[in-house]
Amino acid sequence: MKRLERHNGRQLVKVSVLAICLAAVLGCVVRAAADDPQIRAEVNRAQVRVGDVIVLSVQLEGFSKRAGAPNVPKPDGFEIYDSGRSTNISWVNGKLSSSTTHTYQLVARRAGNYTLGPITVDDKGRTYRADPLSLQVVAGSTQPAPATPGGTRETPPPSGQTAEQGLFARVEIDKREAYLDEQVVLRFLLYQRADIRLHEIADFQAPTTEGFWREDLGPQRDYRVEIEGELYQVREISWALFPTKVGELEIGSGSIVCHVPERSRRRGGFSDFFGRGLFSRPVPLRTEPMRVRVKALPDDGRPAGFSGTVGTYRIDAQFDTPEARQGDPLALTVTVRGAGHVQTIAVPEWPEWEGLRVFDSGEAVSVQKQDDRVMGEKTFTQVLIPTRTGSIALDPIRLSFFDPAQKRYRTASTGPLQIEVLPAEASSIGSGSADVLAVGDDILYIQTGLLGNLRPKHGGGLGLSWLIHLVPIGLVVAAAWLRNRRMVLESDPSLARRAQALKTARDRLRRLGEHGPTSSAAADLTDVVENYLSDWLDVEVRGLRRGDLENTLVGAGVSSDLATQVMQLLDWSDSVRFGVGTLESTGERIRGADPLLRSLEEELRKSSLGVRL
Amino acid sequence: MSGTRRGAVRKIRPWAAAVLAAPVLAGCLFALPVQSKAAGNAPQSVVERIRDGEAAYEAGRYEEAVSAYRQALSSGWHSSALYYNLGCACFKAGSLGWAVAYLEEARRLAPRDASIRHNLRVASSRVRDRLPEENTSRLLALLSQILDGYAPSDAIAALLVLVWVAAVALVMRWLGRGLLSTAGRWGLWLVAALLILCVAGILLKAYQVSSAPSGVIVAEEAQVHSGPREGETVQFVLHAGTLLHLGRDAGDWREVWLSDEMRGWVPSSAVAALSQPVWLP
Repeated sequence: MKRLERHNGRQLVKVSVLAICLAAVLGCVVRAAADDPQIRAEVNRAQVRVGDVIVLSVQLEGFSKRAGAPNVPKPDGFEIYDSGRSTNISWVNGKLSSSTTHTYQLVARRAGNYTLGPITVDDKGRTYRADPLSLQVVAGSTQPAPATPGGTRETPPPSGQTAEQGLFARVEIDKREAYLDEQVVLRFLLYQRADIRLHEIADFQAPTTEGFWREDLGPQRDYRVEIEGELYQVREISWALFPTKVGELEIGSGSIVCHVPERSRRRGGFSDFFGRGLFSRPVPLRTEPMRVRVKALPDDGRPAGFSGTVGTYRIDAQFDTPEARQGDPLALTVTVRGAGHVQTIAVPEWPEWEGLRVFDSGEAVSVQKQDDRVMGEKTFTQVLIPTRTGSIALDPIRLSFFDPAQKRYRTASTGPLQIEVLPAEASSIGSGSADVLAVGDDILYIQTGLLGNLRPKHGGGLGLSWLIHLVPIGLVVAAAWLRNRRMVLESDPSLARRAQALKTARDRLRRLGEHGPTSSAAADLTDVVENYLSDWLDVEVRGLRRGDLENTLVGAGVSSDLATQVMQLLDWSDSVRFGVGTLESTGERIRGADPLLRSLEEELRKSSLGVRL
Repeated sequence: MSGTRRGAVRKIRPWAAAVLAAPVLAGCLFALPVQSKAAGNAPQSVVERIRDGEAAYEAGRYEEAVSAYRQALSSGWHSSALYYNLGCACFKAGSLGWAVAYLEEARRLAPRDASIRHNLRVASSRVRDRLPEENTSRLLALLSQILDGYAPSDAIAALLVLVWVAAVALVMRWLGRGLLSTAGRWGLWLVAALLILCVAGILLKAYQVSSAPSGVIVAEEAQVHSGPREGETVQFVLHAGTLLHLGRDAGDWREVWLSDEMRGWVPSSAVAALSQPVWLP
């Protein structure tokens, strides 16, 4: 039963330890998962007709700044265009969080069911995946294939481009001169005469735009134009460029390879089987570089508060609450909207914050593209804590910018801002929910009273005091010896009795001696000696005749003389017990029994074989 | 077999286990403090230099405080607090490189001290050189954070405590009976698991210590040359407070490196070597 209980106990311990380890591992996994960056992909619609556009949004949250752009595998039957990205940065309760959304436009070219993805992002050596998306393209295009926004239009004949074989490429920019950070539209156009068929368009290299900030302006656009009386199909890709430095900037060459079908001279065999023997010939096309002169912003009329913003904007501001209480925080949101390089909109000119403590809570940017223009908004949030009651009026918030369309500086401003501050509630004093924000960063003060933990740099560690750590080793050795001894004694009870025999006998003799000669003293003396001999010889001595006992003693290795002395002692005891002898020599006998027993012990130990206590 | 005695077997009483375990437990509680106190008291001269440094710092005489604390340090006695104060004084006196060096020494002696960590962070934020971040997994970052939380001497102290506890558990297991023996057995399992963790912690700490930066740039600017000579090509420039690894000496020059790709030589006066870690508690 005890063995069963011990077994069940061991099982319980093992299961408990395993459960604790699993819980610890699970906790780490959950914590790690909670902190992992997140990638999400979604489309605005999953079912379209041929020629329709699907907008794909890939949102990245929690990635580092060095995370790569999403890898979007192109499904066969679609064309994918990068539509740019927007970043949303927010600062809530002292915690910064940001998410970046990459937008793509997928143009359906062929009917069928497709799987988009998985879309992946690499960051810090790990690859993160979004769930794949299912797309369905049904036959029947919404527009004549290929899509022709704007239909046919007249266009001047191409200059500097060869029209041989009715296939050529060119780039166009909407202006050759621009101000610093003013938007310039760059277009790459591929012209294909109506009677020319293409097997494939490949190896597109966009023109280099060093010195410009570049934003995609949407998907490829297809339309028809007439050149010198001949109809051409045009494929157009466009970008918005923002010059980042003054001077002559070059837009480099762009290139593309078109594969034109070519008939094989041989007929029959495999060529006939695959249909009239069609092969393709690559036709590389290249555009000419172009130069843009970037002008510095004029000094005339530059406002004092101008910080480099270029575009056309308006500014709005509002509080998140119409009235506040003294000591309680409120948020002022200032939004700058318009067209231009939205990402680089500078911080507005803040007014005097009389009666208010101000904490900068962060910025958020949202970018859109429409009609070949980059536009959007940038939001600045300030956390304000009123320090007094009453009506607090703020001067309008201004933003100065250079309007390249009007070629002059302009200043947009909000209207006057006002807020009513009520007295703090009695119970709310000290219980406001405003976060404690750090306003400075310096080292802490020195530590005083540092004399307690001074120690020598070298050689102070190992000394005599380390000898104390030998104590557990010694105690373990002692415990091991004791344990071993106990095991030996428990395994052999006779050995245990033998080990204690002399001590037990001497204790009893000492007690006998204290009581003096009594009528029972002789009987007790006999009992002591017989018990001693029984413990040592492992036989019940009382049942033996004296002669047999003497022989047993001699057989156990006791000398004849000593055995005789023992017999004499026992005989005397017997005589006293049975009324033959007297008690006069009892004390002497008792005193003499102790050395007798010690001599016996010595001789018996010497003669014992293989038994060590 | 007749006549064989069947007597009571003398047993080792359970209280013997308690008697043996008591000094072991007492030793467990007092051994390390006794041993650490055996370091002795600092000489009076060191005490006076430290007090001079405190007074100078409080009065805003930071250069003087630096001098006083350095004299105390040069006498052969140290502590995390002494390094910390010296680092603060150097920071206030405008010696960013030395401030980072001394605060780093303090952090290695007392890695869990919040004041030291704070001041080292502030000082490090002023360092001009921003080294490229290494790509490390979240697990390695967590492991590194754990390793930064204790000094080598803490690991050895933990090992010694576990040895004492293991001795107690063994004594209870071998000499105790019933509940005492069972408690001893559970204790042995627990100690075994903790010993494995402790040994792993020591080995990992040893690896971290061996791969940690061993020096600091203390000059305002140090040009790192391709060889130990003034005319050698300047490969890159480092600034005060940058932690780096130190290599060989060659006269008045010292080999340094930030990574396998960024190696070179600087004048020995431009760098300060950090102390070897203290392993004994």
